[in-house]
Amino acid sequence: MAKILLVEDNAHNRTVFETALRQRGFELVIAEDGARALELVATTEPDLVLLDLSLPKVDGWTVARRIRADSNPRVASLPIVALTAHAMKGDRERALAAGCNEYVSKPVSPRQLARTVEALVRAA
Amino acid sequence: MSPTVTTELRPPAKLSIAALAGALVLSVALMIGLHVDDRRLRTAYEADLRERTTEILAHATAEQLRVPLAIGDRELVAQAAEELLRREPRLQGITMRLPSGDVVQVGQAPAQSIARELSLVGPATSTEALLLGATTSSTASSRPLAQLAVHVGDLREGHPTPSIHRVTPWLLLSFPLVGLAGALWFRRRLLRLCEISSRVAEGELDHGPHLGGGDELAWAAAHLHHATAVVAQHVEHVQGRNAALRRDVTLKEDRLQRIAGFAATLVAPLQELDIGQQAVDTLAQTCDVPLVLLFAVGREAAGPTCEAACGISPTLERSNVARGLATTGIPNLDTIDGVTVLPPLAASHPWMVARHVPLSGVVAVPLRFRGRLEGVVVLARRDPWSTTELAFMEDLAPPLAIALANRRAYAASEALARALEHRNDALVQQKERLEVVDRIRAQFVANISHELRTPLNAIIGYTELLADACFGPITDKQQAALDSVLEASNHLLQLVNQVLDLSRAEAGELTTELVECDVLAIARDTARLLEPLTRSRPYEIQVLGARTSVRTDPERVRQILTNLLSNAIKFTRAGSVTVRVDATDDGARLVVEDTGIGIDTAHLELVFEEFRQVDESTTRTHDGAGLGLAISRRLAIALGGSLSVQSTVGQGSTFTLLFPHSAATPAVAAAEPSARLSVAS
Repeated sequence: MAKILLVEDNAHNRTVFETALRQRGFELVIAEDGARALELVATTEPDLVLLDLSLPKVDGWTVARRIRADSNPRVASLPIVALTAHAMKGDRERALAAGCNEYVSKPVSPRQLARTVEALVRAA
Repeated sequence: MSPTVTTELRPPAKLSIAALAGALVLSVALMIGLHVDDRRLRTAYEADLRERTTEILAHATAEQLRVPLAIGDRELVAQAAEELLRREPRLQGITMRLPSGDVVQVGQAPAQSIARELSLVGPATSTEALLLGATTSSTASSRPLAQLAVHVGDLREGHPTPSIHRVTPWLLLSFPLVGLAGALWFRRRLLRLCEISSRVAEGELDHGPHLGGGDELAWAAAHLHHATAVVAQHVEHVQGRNAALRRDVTLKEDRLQRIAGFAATLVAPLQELDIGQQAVDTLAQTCDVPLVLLFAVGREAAGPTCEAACGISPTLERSNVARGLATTGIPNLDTIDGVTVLPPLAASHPWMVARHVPLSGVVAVPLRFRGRLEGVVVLARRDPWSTTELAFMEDLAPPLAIALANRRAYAASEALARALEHRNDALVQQKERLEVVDRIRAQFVANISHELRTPLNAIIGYTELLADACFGPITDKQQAALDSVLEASNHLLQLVNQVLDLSRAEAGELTTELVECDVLAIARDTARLLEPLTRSRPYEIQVLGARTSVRTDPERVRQILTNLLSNAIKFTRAGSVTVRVDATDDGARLVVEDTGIGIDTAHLELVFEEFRQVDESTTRTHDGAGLGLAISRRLAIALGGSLSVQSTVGQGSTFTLLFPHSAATPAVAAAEPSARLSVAS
């Protein structure tokens, strides 16, 4: 089954997403901040990144840009889903500009999120 | 300015030539006439001579033959000789030697041997002698040879002589000569007359030359002379006037020069506010006046203040100067008109301090510009002022008045500019403050949005997971409770979205994305999505109408319709909620009709205001922040359309959304810079 790197600093939301995805059979790697996320991207070789944007240490936009700039082509082409509570005008554009493939604004229904992730993994 | 005289230097000679030609023609005619007359006289004379000769010859003897012959008339001589030869048979031939030396030979030529000398008989007068020769026959006849004597006729004797012959050449010569002389004389006088008129034309009017004599030319010259005298008189008059005018102009020029010099000192840069002192100094110098004071009339009716003074004691207090004006005898300043002569300054006058020479010539010159009294100049000197000088003062006033007015206007505009600058600064600061506030507000809204969404995400997520039995099986009651939590969460989310929309609308940032879409399809989709709301109602949302294609923003239409339908369902416990779609001339109409509680007419427009529900009691009965309709109307306007309501209490409400086919003008979106929310991250 596909491995998903979930980057989320809020413990409640982390639990919700983790539970919902594990229940659907995804393997999960968890990072609580941007720096850790970048380490795990290199070491765990996930198939997809669920990325919160407001993160400690290194923010999500930077994480996305670094992944896209990675020398390893497998890393650089990772599907990234921005999962953020920034839902103002221009936020979607900024997320996509940073290199995210999808933009999902919080609050998101776990069912909806699972469907989105499944569709992306299938496409990849 | 004398007119250009175009006189030929060489006069024409036409008349002279004509006179001369006339004289010549006359002479020739006379000559011809005389010649004809001469011929006639000559013929008559010859006939007469022939007759007389014949008569003489008839009675004459050979011895005494006297023939009155004209000298040199060869023909007549020959004729007479032939007649003689015929009558005197003894004569065989006659040879005559004429005084001119000519020889006339008639009959036989004399034989050489027997030629006889004929002696000259009679009074041979001078050279006009006729020598008549006679010869004897060569044969010796018995008849003694007659001695033939011939008398020479005296020409002057008894016979008319065409003496006119001798006169005629002189006479003929005299005619052209006289004609020529006359013509020359006339020409000379005419030239003289011309010369006179030329000199008159050249301006020699005083002692014009005369043309003597009493003829017509002299008469014409006299007339010319008279006219010249009249013209000279006129010229003298005009020259006199010109001189006066020149004097006048010189005087005026001098005054103008002084005024210009004075005015030049007034054209100082406007920020130099002491033009008054400059003006006063220049005035004192220009007019040679010992005491000059300038009083300015301010806008405040505080009376005139001494602006500048020249020739006043420096120790004199300003108040004394002002007091001096009051005691100078100036009439009311408001009515002073034109330069006014004031009474002499008394020795006790404040301005006379430390002054020994009395000042009798005192004038006040009001300075008016466009009817407004800008100030008064008082000039004082020892001698009274003449009318001309007063007029000069009158001329000096306007530039000074203009300068004062300019200065006043400049000061006013300066003050205005300063005020405007201050106001501008204040506005800029205010704008900056507002921008900061705006940024903070936008940031706050963004943060609030973020901070509300984050826990909402957890609430909705956990609830859904619980409901999906991810944390173990649940009872029906628990399921119902979780549904309520979900509903409440969704409502809260809607509220957050509405607040954000409102915030955007107030910042002028409601944007629309226009695409071609079917309004009926949008209505059906929305009705289906809102189906959960009607589960507790005894009716379903009815969607009526035909497919209506419009270019608009489907998301915004959906948002408005969601609001309208939610409200309709909320306030309609039983009855019906209907959506009708139809096309208009330039777009589409969406009508949401319910049979709910309705709205009082007095409150109809209030429903579109933010945070308003119709009254407090309903607020309690029906949940909702009262933002939906306010946002909906703003969205309708952003689409270029309108949202209106009709309602009857107890019978229901009808909301009508109209939007045009081409809402090409995102009217609200264009209103403000887009920087606000991009800052809010």
